[in-house]
Formats: sequence, structure tokens, C-alpha cells
Amino acid sequence: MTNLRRKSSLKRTQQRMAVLFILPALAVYALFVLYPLAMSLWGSFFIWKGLRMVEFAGLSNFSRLFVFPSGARLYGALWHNTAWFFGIMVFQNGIGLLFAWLLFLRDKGAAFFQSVFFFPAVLSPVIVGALWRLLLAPGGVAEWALNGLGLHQGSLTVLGNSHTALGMLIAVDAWNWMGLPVLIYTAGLRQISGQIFEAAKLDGAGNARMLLSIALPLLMPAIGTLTTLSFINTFNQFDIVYVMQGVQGNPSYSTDTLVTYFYRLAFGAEGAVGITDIGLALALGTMLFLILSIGTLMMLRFFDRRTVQL
Amino acid sequence: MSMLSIHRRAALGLIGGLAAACAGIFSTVPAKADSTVTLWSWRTEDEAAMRRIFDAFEAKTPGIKVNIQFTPDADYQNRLSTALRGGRGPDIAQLKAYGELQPFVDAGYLDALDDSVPELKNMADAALGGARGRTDGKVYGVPYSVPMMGVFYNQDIFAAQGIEIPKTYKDFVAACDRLKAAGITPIATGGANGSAWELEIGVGVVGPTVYGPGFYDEMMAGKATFEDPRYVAALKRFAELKPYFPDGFAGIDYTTATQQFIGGKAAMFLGGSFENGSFKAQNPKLKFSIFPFPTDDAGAKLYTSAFSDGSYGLVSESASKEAATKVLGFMASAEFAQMFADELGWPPARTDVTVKDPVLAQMMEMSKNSTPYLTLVGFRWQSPTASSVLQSEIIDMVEGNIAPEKLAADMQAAVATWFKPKQ
Repeated sequence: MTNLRRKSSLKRTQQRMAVLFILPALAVYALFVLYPLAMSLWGSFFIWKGLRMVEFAGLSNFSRLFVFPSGARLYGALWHNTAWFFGIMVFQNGIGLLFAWLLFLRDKGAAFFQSVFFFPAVLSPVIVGALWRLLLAPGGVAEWALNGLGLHQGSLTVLGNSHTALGMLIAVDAWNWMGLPVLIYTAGLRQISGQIFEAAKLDGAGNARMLLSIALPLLMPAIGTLTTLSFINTFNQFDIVYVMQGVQGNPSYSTDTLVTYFYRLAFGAEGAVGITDIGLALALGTMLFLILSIGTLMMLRFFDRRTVQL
Repeated sequence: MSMLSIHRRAALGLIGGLAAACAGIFSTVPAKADSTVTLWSWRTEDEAAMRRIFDAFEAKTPGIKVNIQFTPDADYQNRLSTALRGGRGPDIAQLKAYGELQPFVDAGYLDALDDSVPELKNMADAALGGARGRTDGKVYGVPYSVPMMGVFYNQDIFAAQGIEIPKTYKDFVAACDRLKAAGITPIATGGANGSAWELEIGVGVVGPTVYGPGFYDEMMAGKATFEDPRYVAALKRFAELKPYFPDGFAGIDYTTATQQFIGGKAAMFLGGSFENGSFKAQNPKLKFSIFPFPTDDAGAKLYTSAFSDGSYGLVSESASKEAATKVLGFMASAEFAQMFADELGWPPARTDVTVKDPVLAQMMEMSKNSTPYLTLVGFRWQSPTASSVLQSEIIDMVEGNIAPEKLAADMQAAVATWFKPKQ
């Protein structure tokens, strides 16, 4: 009896100690994460003049967000982010899966190719953007190569064309991060027991059948992780647009994203650095936070349900 | 020049910003003696020249030392507003003009200078306009430069091709055709990769010759809008020049365009007067000058767009106001304007200077017939600015994807959300 009580009091002390040990980290977290988050939420209910909160405005910043002139920018940016997400899902994660599968089938040299695919991911998106800006400029290497192959004639102006610019940026982003799905999918494939694939082979399944019916369902946790990460990254897309097309998402806002729009509202557009609308910016930030949190939660649930246990 | 360096440094901005933010912590130590005046500027490229100017001032004015600190343009505005908000700003701050100045005036961070700096009376309104508070009309800064715009041209190419400075628009087009036939890019310009402000300047070069000098006042009074046929015609004329722009115009950015002109591959460049110094520095052998864009009639007065670039203001919380006011008095003097013109090659805020540089002399001659740079002086006060729409859609307009009427209508719709004409 006494022994038990002592044990439980020891446990309680330990728990108390644990809280004490967590406190510093919690304080830092509260100060640098929760406090700014709460402040920006709070600030989105106010009218701002420069850097000062002037007057309580209720939900007027939020309603302003959806009407002219902000509405067109908001919906445009939302559409570009969505297109970006699906583009990344197909061209980065989809092709990445194919590469991973090929590397898995052909074990020889897999490690080498994996590092080749991963190489661009060690570069900052700012450097990658500057690099591709040079390659895709008129008179650049891409123009020279395409003209040499007879696929294109004259000057290459894909980044200055409002119909092609967004696609180019998505392609550059996919190129930048292609190594990540390759890395995660090959790791996932290696974790699947080799016996399963052998059994399938004995039953006469081909490579395509094994990928679709065995590897894909068993890769669900990896697919879920990647999809969620891609969702968060594409909806926070900023650096590549900023470096390659400027903060306005030129030409004609065709590459504008939610975060470049946020940046313009909070820090000012090109040639008008001091003219800001911080209330509207914080309302947009709050919206973005909601989109990301709800989207992420829904995705995690969705993939959790589809995870297969063997 | 604010616009210039924002974009030239776009990529460096983020890195520079971080460095500057770190530097800021150490550099805002209060002045040791009341005779040290701290001055903040975003013109990092002028550091050596500004130091020489203030060395001369310090030699003549014992007891006052000027400590100039530079922050890259991309980060300047944020650093200054944060510092002023925390009461740790400089004594004298370089200030942006027009709409970008107003948040500082509204917040009460600056002292009006109308009484304390008498030399301001010798400055033209084109210079002072950018430093005025919108509500009280008082002057909150000592302006330093009134940039204007024109057609920079390569004198060697013009001579080799037997081309004279065009007197009419028809002559201008004929000259472009001749250059093109000779395999020379007639006009270097470009606004890709976020440098479309350069194309807005192109409209500033061409515009006044189409919509005329009185158009600004009509716009301000609400008698005309961007949808006015005259403004649409100005946009059209700019788009008409497309055949003479570089090959692959839509993908050419500002830096590439300047390199084409500086390297002698292109004969002309539509630009602001602030290019003078940088062109010279990058290619001292380049023989160039500037002329105003011509109109349809020979002999018509040729107008150019001009604006105030910024000013230097007195921070209200400064601990050494007396000394700082003396420094500002010097910055408003003819002596400063003379040194400024000699050292930097920009048109100074005062016109009573003797100019040695022939290009600068030509610019100052041109600026006698100037009209306010419409999109900046008139409409860069609140968001969305006319400039933001123009910069965004202009490449598509020149490429023929958007009609000039549509661009003009979009600009008007954007500014109509906040612009109130003067009654």
C-alpha cells in the first residue's frame, strides 16, 4: 500500500518535473509561434495606417478581400496555387514515382541516380530561379537547344508570355524538388517485403501490375506525406515567382500566388514600396492559414483511412 | 534613384535585408556628442560620392560631424519605419516621394521644414511637390533631385548611320527603320522578370508628346481619366514601337536592355536621367547623349516627364535637431546642388548650378519643358496604384494580347477605388 502510494507520488513528481522541463520550450514556442499568430489574427480585424493599428474594423478586411479590386487578385492567385499543386502532383510526384519504381526494379546504380535526381534539391529556390531565368531568357541555352533541334524558331520568350509563364515556373519547381519523391518512394518501396513482390511474380503479375496493385497501396503513407508536403509548399509558393517574375507575378499577374499577393499588401508593390494595406494582408494571411490547416487535416485523414496494413 | 535600385537589387534584397537588419541593431546608438548627425540613405551606390560631399561640409563647419549610414533600397523603407516606431531612428532620414512619404508624415515622425530651412524657397515646385504632406501642404524634406526622362542615344551609331536627332515622330520611325536595316537594334527596352517599371518609364518618355503638358492638371481635376483618348493614344504609340524593340522583347529584362545599349548593340534606350551615371560607369568609352521624344509636328515644344526622386527629412525625435537643421540647410544650398550634380551626374533639385557634364546639361535644358510623371506623381498614393496595373499588363499590351483601351480601363478602375479629384 505505502509502496504503491510512494510510487504514485514519485510519478506525480516526475510529471511535475516533466512540465517544468517543457516550460522553457513552451515559452519559446508561445512567444515566437503562438503570439505572432494570435497577433496577426487580431490585427486582421483592424484598419491599419502604415505600421499602426488605427481602428477596429470587424470583418471588413475579410469582406474587402473578396470584392474589387482585391477579389480579382485573390481568385487569380488561388487558381494559380491550385494549378501549381496539381502540376506538382503530376510532374514532380507522379514522374518521381515512376523514376523511383524504375530505380527499384533495376537495383544497379540506384544510389547513384538517386543522388543525381536529388542534386537540384540542395540548391535554394532563389538560385534555381536565377539559373532558369538565365537559361530561359531570349538568346539563352534553352532557346539555342530548341532551335538547334528544330522544335522552335526565333526568340524564346516563355517567361514573358502570360500563357506559358506559370507552366514554366511549375516545371522549374518540379525540377528543383524531383529528388524528394524519388528519395521517399524508393525508401518506401524498399520497406515493402520482397516476398510480396515474389509471390505476385509467381502469380504472373507484370511490372505495371505490381506497381499499381501492390506498390501503390502499400506506399500510401509515403504518398500521403508527399501530397501533404506538396500542398503546403505550393500554397506557400513565393521564392521562385519573386526571383523569376517579380513580386507582381508578371506578366498580367499570370504567375501571381497567394503569398506574392500577401507580400505586396504587407510590404508594397514594385515602385511603391511604402504603400501598404496591412489589414488586408493579415486578413489574407489568416485565410491562407485556414486553407492550409483545414486542407492538411483533411489530407492526413484521407490518407490515414487508405493506409493498408499487412 | 529608388525605382532603379529596387529592381537591380531585387535578388540581393533578401540577403541584404537580413544583413542590414543585423547591422541596424548596432548602428542606432545615440549620438555621442550633440554635434554628430546621423543620416540614413538607401543610395548604397552613392556612398563614396556622398562621403566626399559631407567631408567638404565638415571641413567648413567645425563642431558638426555627419555620420552617413546606408541600407539597401529593398529593405530601407521597412527598416526606417521600424526604427522610427521604436524611437531609434536617425536624425536625418532620406525619404521617398509623394504617396510613399505620407505614412511617415501622418504618423508624426517628421518635422515640417518650411520655416527652419529658408533655402527651400529657391527650389522649384517640381522638386518640392514630392516632399509635401498631403493634408497640410507643408514641406517635410529637402529634395535632392528632379529626374526626367528621354531617349538616350549612341552618338557613334547615329553618326555612322548618318542619322540626325529626329525632329518629328515620322523622322524617328524612319531612323529606326534605317537602324534595323543596318542590323542594329533601334531601341533597347525590356521589362521581363519583374522589371516592368522600365516599360512604365518608356510610357513616361513617349506619353507627354501625345497627351500634352496640360493633361496632368486635367487628370488631377477630374476632367480627364486614363480612358481619355489621349492617354490611350499614348499607350498605342508606345506599343507601335514594338518592331524596333529587341528581338524577344517579352523575355528581355531591364538589365539585359541596358547592357544592349551600353555594349553598343542597340542605338537608343528609353530611360530616366539617373541612367547617366551608371551608363558612364559601366562603359566610359560609350559616347551618348539624350533627346526628347518627338511629336507629330516639327517645331512643337517637346515635353518630358519629371518627378521628385525623394528628399531628406528631419526626424522629430532627433536629439540633435539644431545641428541636423544646419546639415539640412547645407543640403538645400546651391553649393550642395553643384557638388551633387558634379559627383553624381543627376539633375539636382536646384537649377542655379553650372553643369560641366554635357549629357546632364542637355537633360536640364529638356527639363525646362516638363510635365509631372503622371503615374507616379498623380497616382502612386494608395493601393492599387496605376503603376501596378500598368507594369503588370504592359508586356501583354505591347505583344498585342491586351488592347490599349483595356489596359487604360483597368488602370482607371484601379485608381477609381481611392482617387478623389481636386475640386
